[in-house]
Amino acid sequence: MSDYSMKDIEWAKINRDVLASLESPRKEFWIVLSVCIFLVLCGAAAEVYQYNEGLGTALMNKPHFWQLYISNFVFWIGMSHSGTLLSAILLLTHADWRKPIYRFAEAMTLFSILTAAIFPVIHLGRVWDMYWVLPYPNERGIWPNFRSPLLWDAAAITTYATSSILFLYVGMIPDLAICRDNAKGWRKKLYTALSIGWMGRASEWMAFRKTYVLLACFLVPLAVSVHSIVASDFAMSIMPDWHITSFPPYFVAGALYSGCAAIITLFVLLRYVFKFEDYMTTEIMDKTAKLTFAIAMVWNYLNLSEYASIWYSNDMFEKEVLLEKFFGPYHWVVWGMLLCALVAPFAMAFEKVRHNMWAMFWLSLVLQLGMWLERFQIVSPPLASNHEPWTWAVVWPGLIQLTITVASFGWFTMLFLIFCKVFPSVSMYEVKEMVFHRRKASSRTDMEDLDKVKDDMIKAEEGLS
Amino acid sequence: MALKRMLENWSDLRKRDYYEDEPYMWGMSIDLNKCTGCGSCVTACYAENNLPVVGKERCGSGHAMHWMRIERYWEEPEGETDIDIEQSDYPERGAHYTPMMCQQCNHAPCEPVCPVAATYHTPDGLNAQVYNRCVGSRYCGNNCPYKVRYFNFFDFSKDIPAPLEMQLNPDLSVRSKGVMEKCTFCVQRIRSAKDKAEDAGHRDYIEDGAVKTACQQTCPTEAIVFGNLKDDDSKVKTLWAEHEVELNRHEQEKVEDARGYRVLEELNVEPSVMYLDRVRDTEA
Amino acid sequence: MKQDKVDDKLASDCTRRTFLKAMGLGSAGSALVLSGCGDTDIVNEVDIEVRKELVLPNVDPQDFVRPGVEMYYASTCRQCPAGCGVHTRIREGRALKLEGNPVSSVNKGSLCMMGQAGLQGHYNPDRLTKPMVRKGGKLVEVSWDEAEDTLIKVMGRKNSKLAWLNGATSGHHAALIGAYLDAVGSKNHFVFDTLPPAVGHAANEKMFSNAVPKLALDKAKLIVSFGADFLGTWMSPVQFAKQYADFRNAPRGTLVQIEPKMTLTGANADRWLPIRPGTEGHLALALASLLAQDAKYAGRVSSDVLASLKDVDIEAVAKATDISAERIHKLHHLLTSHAPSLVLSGSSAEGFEHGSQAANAILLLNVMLDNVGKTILPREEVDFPDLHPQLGGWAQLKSFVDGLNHGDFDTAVVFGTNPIYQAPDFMGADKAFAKAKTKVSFSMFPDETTMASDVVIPIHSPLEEWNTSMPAYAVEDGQLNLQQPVMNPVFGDDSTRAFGDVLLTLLQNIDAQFKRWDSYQTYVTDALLTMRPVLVNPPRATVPGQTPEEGFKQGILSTGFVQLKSKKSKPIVAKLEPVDLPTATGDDAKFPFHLVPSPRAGLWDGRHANLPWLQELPDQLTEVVWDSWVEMHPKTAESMGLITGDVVNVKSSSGSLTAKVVVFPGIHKNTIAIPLGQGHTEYGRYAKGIGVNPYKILNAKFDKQTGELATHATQVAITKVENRGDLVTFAHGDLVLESNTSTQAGREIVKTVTAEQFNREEKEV
Repeated sequence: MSDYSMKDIEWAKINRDVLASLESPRKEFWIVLSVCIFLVLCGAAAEVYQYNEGLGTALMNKPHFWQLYISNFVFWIGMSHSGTLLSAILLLTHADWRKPIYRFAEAMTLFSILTAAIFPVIHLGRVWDMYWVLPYPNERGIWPNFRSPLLWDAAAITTYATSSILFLYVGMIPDLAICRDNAKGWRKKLYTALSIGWMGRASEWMAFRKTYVLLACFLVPLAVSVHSIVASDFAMSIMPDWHITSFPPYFVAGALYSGCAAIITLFVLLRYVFKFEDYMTTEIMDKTAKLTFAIAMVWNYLNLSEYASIWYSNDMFEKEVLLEKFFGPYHWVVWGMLLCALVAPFAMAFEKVRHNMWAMFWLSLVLQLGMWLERFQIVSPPLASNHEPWTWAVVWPGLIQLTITVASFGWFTMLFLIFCKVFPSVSMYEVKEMVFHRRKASSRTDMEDLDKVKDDMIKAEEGLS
Repeated sequence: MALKRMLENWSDLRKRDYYEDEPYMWGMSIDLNKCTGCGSCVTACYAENNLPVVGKERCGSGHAMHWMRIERYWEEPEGETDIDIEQSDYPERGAHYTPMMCQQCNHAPCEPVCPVAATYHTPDGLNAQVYNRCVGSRYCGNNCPYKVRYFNFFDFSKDIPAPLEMQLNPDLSVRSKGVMEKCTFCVQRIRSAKDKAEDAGHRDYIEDGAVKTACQQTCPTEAIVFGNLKDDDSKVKTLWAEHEVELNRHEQEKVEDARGYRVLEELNVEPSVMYLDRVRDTEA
Repeated sequence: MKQDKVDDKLASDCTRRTFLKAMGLGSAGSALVLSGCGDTDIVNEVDIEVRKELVLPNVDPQDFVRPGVEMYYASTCRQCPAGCGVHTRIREGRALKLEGNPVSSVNKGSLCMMGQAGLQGHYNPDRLTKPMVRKGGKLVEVSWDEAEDTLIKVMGRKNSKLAWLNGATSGHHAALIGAYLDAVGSKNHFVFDTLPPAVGHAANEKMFSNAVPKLALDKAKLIVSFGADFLGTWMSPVQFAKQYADFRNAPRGTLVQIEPKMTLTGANADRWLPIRPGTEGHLALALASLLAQDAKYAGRVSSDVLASLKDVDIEAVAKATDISAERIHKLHHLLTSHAPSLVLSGSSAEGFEHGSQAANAILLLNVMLDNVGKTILPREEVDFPDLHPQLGGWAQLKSFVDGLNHGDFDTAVVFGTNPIYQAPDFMGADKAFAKAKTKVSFSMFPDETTMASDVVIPIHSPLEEWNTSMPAYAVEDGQLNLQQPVMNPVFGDDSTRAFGDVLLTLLQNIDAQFKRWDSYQTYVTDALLTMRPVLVNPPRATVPGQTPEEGFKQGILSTGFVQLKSKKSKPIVAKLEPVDLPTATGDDAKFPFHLVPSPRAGLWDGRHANLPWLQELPDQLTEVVWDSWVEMHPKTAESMGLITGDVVNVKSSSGSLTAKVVVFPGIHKNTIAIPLGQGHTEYGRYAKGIGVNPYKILNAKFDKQTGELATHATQVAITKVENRGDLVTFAHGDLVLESNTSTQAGREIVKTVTAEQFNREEKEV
C-alpha cells in the first residue's frame, strides 16, 4: 500500500525543507503580498466611506437589511471549520494522514475566523457601540438580550477564536523550538519567547500530548456549536426559508465542505510553492478528496431534503421563496450554486481526478465558489420575497460591499502569507512521527492488525519518554 | 425555595397575557371600507414623527422612511375572495388600499432577536424601540413579517435645510445614522395624555379619545380608530368585539360575515391592529 | 411698514357706506343691517391669542411662552381653496403641526396631506425673504424702503391700464383687492385657478341657478360620478371624504365612477368604468333616453328635452363610449333601483369643446331621477358678495393674456397664481407677460411668474398673517374662516410682509380713508367687530373684567371662524335645455391617444411641488415619487413594446414633451394620462427641473359655451425615445417593474366582502 511511501524521508531533510520555507521570500511573494495589502487598503477605504456616509452606501435597504456582509461572515466561519476538522476530529480518530497538512489548516481556521469577525462589525449600524453586544458588567445593570442569536454569535465566535489560537499555538510549540534552534536575529527572539523554553523532555512531551488532546476534545463540539449558532441566526427567525429546522446540521456540513475545499486549494499551492511534494503526497490528497466527497454528499442530502420538505409542506410563504429562488431574479445564483457545489463534487468520484493536483486545485475553487454562492442565496432571496409582497424588491450588492468582500480575501491571504514565512506551515515533529511510524510499520511482517501496530506505536512513544 | 416558587407560579409564568393588571393595552382598528388610500395619514406621520425626506434617488434605492405607508394592490388574493373576479382588462373594482405600519405585535418577532434588547415590549402593549440602545444589527428588520421597520441608512437629519428644521417635533428625537426606527403608535402623545391624566388625579384611566395618533387625527374618512383595548367602553374595543377579533388567541374563530381580521395572523405574532374588510357592491 | 396713525379727521369724514364698502361689507342690496360704526377703535393689546408680541424660540422665553407646554391656535388652511379649519400646534414659539379644527364644518377635525404639508410651505427653505427689483435685466434684492418706493411708483396711482391677476380668493383679501382696483380705477381684474371646475359651475348655475349647489353625498344611495374626483381633487376633498364615509356606512351606498383615467375616487368605486374621453355626455344622454322610456322619469322634464332624447341609439353609444350596451342597461337599472341618487359631472367629462353640453346631459339625469332637493340642495343667501369666493378659470386667464398681447395693460400684478407655469404653450403667456411694462408679483416662492416679474414682494405665509376667507365649497353657508399669525415670521420682521399690509399701504397712498387702519390686522378685526350683529352667536366676554370686544375677539379666534347669518333661499327649480352634443368622432390617425392631464391629491395643480413631503408621498394610483410619468394601459404598452420606465415622447399638434411610461391598468386603452404638478422651471430646490407639465402641450380648444380651456380635448402621438430610465415607484419593487401590477401573492392583506355581507354584518352589530 502506498501508506508507506513516506518512510524513506530523512529526518534532517524534514527540518531542512520546512525551515527553508521560512527563509528569504522570493520576489513573487512580495508581489502577492503587496497585492493583498492593496486590497486590504481598498477595503479599509470602502469601510471608512461607509462609516462616514452610512450603510446605505453599501446599497442595503428595506427589505434587504442583511446582504453580502452576512453571507461573507457565514462563508468565512464555514471556512474555519476545516482546520478544526483536520486537527481535532482527525486527531481523535487517529487518522495519521492529516499530519503534514493540519498546521496550515489550523492557521487557516484562525485567519478565517479573524476575517469572519470583521463582517458583523462593519455590518453594524453603529460600530462604535459594538461592545454593547457583550455582557460586560456595568453600573446601570443593562444586559444584552440573551435570547438573541446574534449574542450567541458574539459569544461563540470569541470562544472559537480564542480556542483556535490556543490550539494552533500549543500544537506549534515543539516546532517553534526547532525554529528557535536554527534561527538568528529577531526570529531567534520571537521563537525563544514563543517556544516557552521547550527542551523536548519526556515530561514536556507528556504534558503537551495531554493538553493537545484535551484541547481537541474541547474544540470539536465547539466547532459544531459555532456553526449551529450561525445557522440559528437564520433558523431562529420567522423569515420564510430561513426558519428551517435542518439549518444547523446543514450549516455544519456546508462549513466542513467549504473548509475541505479550501484545504485542497492551499494544499496544492503550498505543495507547489514550497516544493513539499515529499510530504503532501498524492495519497494524502486522495484521502482529503474522499473526505470532501463524503461531506459534499451529506451537504447535498441536507440541501435536497430542505427543498423537499418545503415543497411538500406546501407553505405559501416558503414555497414562494423556493420558486423565486429557482425561477426568480436570483435564479443564476441558485443554479450556479447547484452546479458548483452539488454537481461538481462528483468529479472526485474518479481516482484520476483525485490524483491530479491541478485538477483538484481548480475543482476546489469551483466548490468554494459554489459554497460562496450558497451563502448568498441563503441570505438574499428570502429577503427579496418575504411575507409582505408590497416590499418585495431585488437588490444586488453595491460596489462598497463587493470591495470589502474582495478585500476580505486579500486580508485572509495576507495573514496566511505572513504566517507561512514566520511559522512552519508543515508540522515537523508530526511528520517525523508519521515517517517513524511508517518505517516501523513497513518493517513488520504482520500487517493485518493495524490497530495493534498503532497500539505498539503509542507504547513506543510513551517508551520514548 | 426558588424552585418551589417557580413551580407554584408556573401557570403565571406561562400565561399569555403577561400584563393582565396593566390598565392600558393600546390597539387600533382600520376600516378598509372607509379608507380611500389618499395618503393623508402618511404625511401626518411625517409631520408628527420627524420623519426625514430622503429624495428620489434614495426612494429608488429603498431607503424611504415612511413609518406608515399605503399599500396598493390590484388583485384579490387567490381563492380567498368573496367577490367573483370578472374577466376584464381593467381593474373595474378599483384598487385595494391598506395603510401598513408597525402592528405592535404582542408576540413580536423583532423583540427576541435584538442582541442589545433595544426593542422590547412595554406593559401597555407597545413594541418600543430605544434609539439610544440600538446598535444597528438590523435583525429586527429582517424578522418583521410586515417589513415596517425602517433603518437610518444615512444621516438624514443632516440634510434638512434651514429653516425646515424648525418644524421638528421636540417631543421625540431626530434619529441618527445607524439606528432602526418604526411606528410608535405616537407614543409621545400617549405619554402626554398619561401625564395629563395623572395631573388630573387618575392614574389608571385615560378618557377614550384623549389620545389620537397623528394618522387617526388627520384621516378624512375616520377609518382609523385608536384606543385602549382594556377599556370596555372604548371605541376601538367595541369595534374589536363587534368584529369578533380578540387578542391572545392563537387563531380567531371564523365567524361568518365578521369583517375583522389581522394581517398575517397565521404567523401567531398577535398584532394589535385589526383591519376590517374592504367592501364592494357586487350589484354595481 | 410705516405705521401711520389713524387720522381722526379722516375717520369722521368717512361715510358709513364707503366705510363698509372698504371693509368688504358692502351689501348686495338686501336686508342685513349693520350697526356699530363707532366701536371700531381696537387697541393692539398684548394678548396671547392676538400674538402681536415677538415670539422666538430662545433660551430666555417670553412671559407667555411656557417651555415644554404646547398650545393650539385656530387658523385656516390655505393650501387649496377648500378652506379647512386648522389647529396649529405651537411650542416654544414654533408651529409644529397642523391638525384639523373639529368644529369647522368644512373638515370636522380632519386634514388632507396638502394641509399637513402646509408647514413645509411656511418653513420652506426657498421662500423669498427679500423684496427684489429688476435692475439691468436681473432681479436684485433691495431694501424694503426701496421696494416700497418702487411699489408706490408703479401701483400707487390711478391707472386704468393696470391688470390684476390673482388665484382663487375670498374674504378680506378679495375685498381689499376689489377696493384697490376701484381706487386705481382699473376694471382689469382676473381670477385664475387651475382646478376649480368652472365649466361645471357654469352648468350648475344655468340649470339649478346655483353655481355650487350643496351636494349631499351622505344622503345618496347611489353616486354615479362622471369624472368628479371628489375624494382627491374636486372642490373640497376633505369635506367630501367625510360625507363619503357616511355614505359608506350601512346601508352602504354604491359608487360608480365613469372616467377615462382612474382617479382616487375611481379606485374606491364599486364599479369603475373606463370610458372613451369626450363621450361622457353621450353616455349620460343614453341613460337619460333609457330613463325617458318610463313615464315616471320622463314626466320630470319638458317635452323639447324629451324630444332630443328620442333618437339615441344605445348600440351606437356603446360603440362610441367603449362601454357595452349591457353595462349601460345595468347602469340604467342601478339608477332606477336606488333613490335618492346623485350624478356628478367632473373635470374629465367637462374638459372638451362640448364640455358644457356634456355637463348639461349629466346634470339632466339628476332632474329625471328627482335628486334635486334631495341630494342637490340650494345655497342659502349670504350677504357681502365682496367676501364670497372668486374661483375664476381659464377663460379669465385667456382674457388677461389677450389683454397683455393687445397692449391694453402697462402694469400687470400677479398674486397667488402662477400663469406662466400653468398656461399652455399656445397661449404664449410668458411672452405676453413680458410685454407689460411693469410686472409685479406678490409671492412666497420664486415661482416662474415671480421670476419673470420686475418687482417681487415676498409675502407672509398663511400662518404668519391675519386674514379671512370663505371656503370654495361651503357646507354651512356663510362660514367666514379666520387666519391669525400663529408665530412670528419665520425669517424675522424685516424679511416678509403680509400681503394685506402691503396692499393697505398702497391703498392709503391713493385713498386716504384707508388711513383709518394702521395695519391689515386692524382692518380685519375692525371688519369682524363691525360684523358682530350679523353673526350667528357672536362670542361674548367670558372672563370677568373683559370688555365685550375682547371677549368677542378671543372667542372668534379660538373658534377659527365666524358664521354669518344667512337666509333660506327658495328650492331649486331646474331650468332645462335640450342637450346638443356633437356626434362622437373616431380616433385621430395622426394623434391616436387622448391626453388626460390628471391632477393628483398632493401636488394639486403644481403649487405644492416645492413641498418635499408631498413630492415623497407616492401617487395614490401608480406609487411614483418625485417624477412625472405617462400612464398607459398594459395592452397598449405591450402592443407598442413599452415597459414601465421607458422614456417616450408625447407629441400633440401644439408641442411635445418627454416622460417615462408607467404601465397602469386603470386607464382607457386609447388614453394616456400625465399627472399635473411637475415640470417647474423655477420654484425652488424641490420642484425645479423635475418632470413635465402636461398643460404645456394642450391644443387651443375651448369650451364653446364658457370659453374655458378644453383641458381633456388634446390628442397625442407617442414614440419611444430610449429604454428604461430611473423611474421610482413604491409599487412592488423591481421584481415586477415591467408590469407594475401588484398582487397580494396569496397573502390576505386586503380582503374583500360583498356589500350584501357588509350590510348584514353591520345590522347584527
